[in-house]
Amino acid sequence: MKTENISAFMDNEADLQVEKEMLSTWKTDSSVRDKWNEYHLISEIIKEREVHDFKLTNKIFDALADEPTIFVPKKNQVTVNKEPSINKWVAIAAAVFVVVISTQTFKQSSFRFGNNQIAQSNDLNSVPAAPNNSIASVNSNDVNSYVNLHRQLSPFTDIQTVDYKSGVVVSK
Amino acid sequence: MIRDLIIKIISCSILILTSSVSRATDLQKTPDFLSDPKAYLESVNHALKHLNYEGVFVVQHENKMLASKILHCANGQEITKINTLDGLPREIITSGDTVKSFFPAYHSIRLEQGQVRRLFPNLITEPIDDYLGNYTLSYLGDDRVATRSCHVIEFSPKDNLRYPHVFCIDNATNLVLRTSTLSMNNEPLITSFFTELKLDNNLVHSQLSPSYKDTKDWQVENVNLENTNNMHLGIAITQLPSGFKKISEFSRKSPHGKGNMVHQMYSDSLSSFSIFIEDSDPDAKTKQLIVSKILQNSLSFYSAEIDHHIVTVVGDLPINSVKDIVSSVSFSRSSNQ
Repeated sequence: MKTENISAFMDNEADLQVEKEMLSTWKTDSSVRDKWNEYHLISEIIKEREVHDFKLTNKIFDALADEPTIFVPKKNQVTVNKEPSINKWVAIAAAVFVVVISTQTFKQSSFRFGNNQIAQSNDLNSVPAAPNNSIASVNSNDVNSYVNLHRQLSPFTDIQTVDYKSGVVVSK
Repeated sequence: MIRDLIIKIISCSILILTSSVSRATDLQKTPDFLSDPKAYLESVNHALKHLNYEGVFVVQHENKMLASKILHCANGQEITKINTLDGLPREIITSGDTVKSFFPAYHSIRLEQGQVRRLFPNLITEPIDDYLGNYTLSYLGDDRVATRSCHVIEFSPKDNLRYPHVFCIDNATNLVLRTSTLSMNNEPLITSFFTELKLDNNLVHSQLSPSYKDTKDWQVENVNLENTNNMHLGIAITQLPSGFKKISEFSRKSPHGKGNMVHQMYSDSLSSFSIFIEDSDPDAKTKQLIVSKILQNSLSFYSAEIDHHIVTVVGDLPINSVKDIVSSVSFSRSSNQ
């Protein structure tokens, strides 16, 4: 790797081919990374900035080298069967069969789910899924104020946890 | 040949489907004790009112839990005493429509009157028909809570405007041992359950008297929650979910600090929502945004500007239900003046 290429890459002036080559070499060639660090160090000194740890990148690479590699199997490519279509009817029948079987399985599992639910709510370690915020452009303090006002007066609130400090009834 | 094969496969599928439906029906057969749901719920209500018990229960939502000790005495006047076991101490004593809360850390007492609180486990109250009008009861099986065997009963809403609830009801006494509010995906949003329970016929009222004796210097806040007539006569909710009734109405200070607002509370016997109505700011340069949020412990929030008013609903209902309520609010001309 030419040093001017590294310099061009740093200045965001390298063309696409050089960028690809640079990134590819970066992964395997530690001398390129050393050069990169040196150039940045020089740049920081010229600009009279405080230099913290210019070897940080190498440390990250060393740490990554110690990480275990996880092999993820590739998905099989879907092949399209363009054979016509005596088999089309067989496919339709098979689809009906699958729908029926899955419907049956769903019915049974949904009933079992009711019983699993019983066990789940007894399991103190189980935490329900985090709620989603759909549109969040309101002041959260305002939302909390309305929620507190509701909880103070809802007959179903666990009033052991209600915050009574916010919101005051001014008249009936 | 192939056609015959296809016909056989489809016939086989239909046969399996038919048998599976009949088997599912058999599995969900209603047990004898639930053959008359009204009588069963009346027996639960009776147990909740007339049993003497003490125990520890936990309220859990998301990753938060709070344990409390409870004593319930039905000898003579019905009284319940709850003491929190976690966090800041708080003591709550309820009798009829009076709720007295002691906050020893702040040397203050809050005295509420005029509205019956439905505190765990006292969640099945009269009129029983309100439950049966909005929910279908089904038996899911048996379970065990606080060492006691219980029937698991699901309250499935008859519409998609409210959440399902699951109750575990003691086989022997019909006392409620556990309740869960479920999301539309059948995940528990909030659960309350006993961890210890002891039935005690010898419980006496003196055991339920306040633990804090010297409170003459404590600050007392009196709150009257009695229902009143409409103070904001021009408000109409055209798509109020069936079974919801207004249980209280107040005038409150707006959280925005700009005047007062109307606060109405509605309930269908297992869930509730608040609707807040305030005048929009006529000098505001931008219109109030529609704001929609799903909050913790089964609460949903929706706010929008309608006809020069800011209408906000907070309730333990699905977000679509809350949105429908806000969208259906209308105002007569007199309220706009």
